[in-house]
Amino acid sequence: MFDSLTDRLEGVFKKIRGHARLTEDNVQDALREVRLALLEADVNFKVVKDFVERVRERAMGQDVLKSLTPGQQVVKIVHDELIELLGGQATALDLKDRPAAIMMVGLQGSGKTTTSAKLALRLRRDFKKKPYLVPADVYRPAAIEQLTKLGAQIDVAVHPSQTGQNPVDICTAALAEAAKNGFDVVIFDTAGRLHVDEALMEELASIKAKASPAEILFVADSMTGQDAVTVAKSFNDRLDISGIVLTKMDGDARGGAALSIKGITGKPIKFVGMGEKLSDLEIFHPDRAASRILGMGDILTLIEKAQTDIDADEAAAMEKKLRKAEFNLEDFRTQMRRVRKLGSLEGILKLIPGMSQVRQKLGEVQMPEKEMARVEAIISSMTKKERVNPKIINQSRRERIAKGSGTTVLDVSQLLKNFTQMQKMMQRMMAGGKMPASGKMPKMPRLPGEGGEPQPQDPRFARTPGKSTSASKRKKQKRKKR
Amino acid sequence: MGFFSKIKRLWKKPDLEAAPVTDEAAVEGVGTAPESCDAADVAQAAAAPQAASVTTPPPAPTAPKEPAPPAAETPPPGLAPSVAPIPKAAQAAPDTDAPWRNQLVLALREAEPRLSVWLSLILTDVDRAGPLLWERLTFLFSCLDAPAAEAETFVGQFRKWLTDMEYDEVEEFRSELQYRLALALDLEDEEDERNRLFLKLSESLAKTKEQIARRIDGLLGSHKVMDAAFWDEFEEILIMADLGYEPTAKLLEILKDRVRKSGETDPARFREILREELSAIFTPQKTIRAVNPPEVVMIIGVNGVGKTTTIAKLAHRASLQGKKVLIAAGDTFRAAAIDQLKIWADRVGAIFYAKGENADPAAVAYEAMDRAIAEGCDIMFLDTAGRLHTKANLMEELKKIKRVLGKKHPGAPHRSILVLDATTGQNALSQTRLFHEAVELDEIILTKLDGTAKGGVIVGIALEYRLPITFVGLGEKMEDLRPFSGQDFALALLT
Repeated sequence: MFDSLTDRLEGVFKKIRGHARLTEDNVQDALREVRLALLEADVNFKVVKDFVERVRERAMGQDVLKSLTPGQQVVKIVHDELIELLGGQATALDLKDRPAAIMMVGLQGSGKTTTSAKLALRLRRDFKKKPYLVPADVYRPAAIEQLTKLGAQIDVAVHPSQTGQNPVDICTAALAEAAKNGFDVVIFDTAGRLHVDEALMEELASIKAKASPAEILFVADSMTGQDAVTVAKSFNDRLDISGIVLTKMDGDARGGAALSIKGITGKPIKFVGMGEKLSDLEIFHPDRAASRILGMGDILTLIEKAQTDIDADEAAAMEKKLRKAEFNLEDFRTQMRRVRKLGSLEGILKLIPGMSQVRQKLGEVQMPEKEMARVEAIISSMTKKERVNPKIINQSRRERIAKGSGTTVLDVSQLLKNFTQMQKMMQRMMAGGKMPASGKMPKMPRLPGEGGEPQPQDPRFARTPGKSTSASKRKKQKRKKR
Repeated sequence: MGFFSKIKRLWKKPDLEAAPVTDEAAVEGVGTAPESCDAADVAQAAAAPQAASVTTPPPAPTAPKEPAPPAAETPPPGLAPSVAPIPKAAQAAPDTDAPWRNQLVLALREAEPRLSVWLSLILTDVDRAGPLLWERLTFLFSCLDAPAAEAETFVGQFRKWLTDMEYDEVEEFRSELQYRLALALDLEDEEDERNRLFLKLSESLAKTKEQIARRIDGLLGSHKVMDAAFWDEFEEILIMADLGYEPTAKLLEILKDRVRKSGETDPARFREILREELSAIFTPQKTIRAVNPPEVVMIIGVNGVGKTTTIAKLAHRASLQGKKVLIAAGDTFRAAAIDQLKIWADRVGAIFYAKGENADPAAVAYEAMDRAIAEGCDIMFLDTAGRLHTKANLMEELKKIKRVLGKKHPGAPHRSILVLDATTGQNALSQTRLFHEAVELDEIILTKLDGTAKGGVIVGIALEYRLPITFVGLGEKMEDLRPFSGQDFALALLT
């Protein structure tokens, strides 16, 4: 599986290296790669066709910048074009009316109910609004209970809908109720439905007619394949949606659906769902999405991901420890567990530009996850005293630890050796010393506190920065030190 | 095994007026079923709860799982009031002066012994649910010599279903009724039912087919020989069908190889070759289906693919097949997931086990396992919270659930089923891979195949992972979760 469009285009352009200008001829193969890359990312083929055509026009006759290879040049064009297409003018939610109604629509399982709650929370927290959640899904068993419970979790009022009621009536009644009680935003969580379900689509149309919502948000699963356009188009034709919410972006989907839907409806992508917590709703960033679609990594998301998982106090405490070189095996284990919480290493590596090759190699040799589990087992087999002060671990203790963790004395010794090395290195680093060359880094996987790497290049065009697998750690460390 | 503990081939009392008449229909009807009356089957079916109090089956050597007493303690609601012996029910038939009975018997006798034909006879002049329909259904069962009490239970459950779902007109529930009958009478493998399934599949795939077939037509029309350009274009078609990059390359390899060997260059034969290869991809591997009861089925998948609904549908099937079902609510994370599953469990008449929101799912699994063993269930479905396959901690949780099940009941979970949403694109491959790595999948169920112009992802998965796709979701109704046949799929897609 190819992972970076850049890598692929490099191959194509090897043949024509030295050309100073992109022409119809030399760009042909490259465009095929672009097309496949986009299809691979689940962008709809019609959208791809138009898109590739635009790239071709734009690329034609361009001078190859000195700083770039022809491959990079094309990637840059593609990337810029993607951002333009995905971005457009970002418009904020229209919340002028009082109460302003927002209607959530989409297929089953796309995440409407969760997104409704997330949106309510965001409106309450960031916009200081008083939202009112309205469950209008009377079909799926317990859908109303679900929203009611979510509402309770975020302390937002929920309309007492009943399954026996007609969704259209629910919405009109809720709107009146909201006006009476001084709510300023009403969110209708409608039932999931297929775009071909005439009766249910009609229901949405009548809700729209009766409640005249200021916003109709189409909620789409970012993992959707080629069919995303058909669905989005049907909903848009029928309801004239005002915006899009992409959900489940915290997975490893490329999210080509974003491009398809935006391309076909022309409606802005307003939010993305980035996790299971109700606070995980974010503003859409076209540049990040573009990098992701092209498989170029998404370093910014990774940094944010790391940030959300570590709170500031903890980070400050850790920094202090690092400074005094008090960082012990106990802390090491905590750090290691935290990294694992970020997701699978593979998922993390995917977000780092240029890491695709590293990942492939790792996959063949051994899964670092296993190695990590082993290291954790060894540390866990130590007593608390040993973890805090590894120096006391003598031969007999090593034997005990090896036995306890199902490893060998050699493994334990190796770990301790690496740890001591790391500690020394950190001491130097914290004293203002420079990082040793990356090749000399201890061979322990994912050591925390290896900070001090130079800022990566612009992630979009980075090719193969750093060969260490602990780049993620470095990012995190950097933040902590600030 | 079917819902009914026994359906005998012959009437016990030949002196009954109706007997010789219905005789033949019954014989043919049941005779077409694959030896459903052999000893093991009868014994197994007899172990079903409904059977315990009515029939005296032969001791069940192949079914040591279920002692009769507990089964008898929990009779289905419809069972208690009417424990009428069979002959009476049958006898009642000719005695009453409702002329439709005789007519119906004659018609049934005349008719082809097929479920759909029988059903349309039963439903003649019936347009909504009511006493007439119940009477006729009961009559059909008596003609098939099903134990009256069980027939009563079947009808009772069906009536409850109609009330739950607020169905009234025959048109609304006809299909569901046929589905139930097919399962209950163990006729699902019959041609009749298979045709129905195929039709449904073709309908659901109509959009996909339209796109793929049209493009393949275009491809075949515009190329005189199968050359490089031909393959390039075909590659694009496959990728557009959500097949995925690697699977596409693999399939192309296989096809090219085959074409080269056969020396065929004429695109005319291409469609046929493609269909054969597609069918071959879906050829199921032989697996051992027998389990040490209770059979444990763990349902997993990412958020929003339809795990809960799929469990409801599977449980519905199992209970119609006469199994005692337990549903365990292992999704303790999503708000109201337990309520949703509870509603379904009530509707399909399954035992329900839940521990409460935010409980440890592994603990739920452990305790549900206890309960399933104690109650002598045949099958247990364990729901799990939707989780993205990239979240390491959630995947660990899944492994733990699996371990816990196995500790409590050796061999469990017997089937770990990944539910995939058919509208998913390439990510389905990544989902399959990571879930497979974590818990070793046994099967895949593909939901929401209707209404979308996709499903190419099935081919990709079958090619890459060799995992059997056992069911596909073709709609929202309970009957719309159907066994998947690769041959049918290939046929529906390419003809």
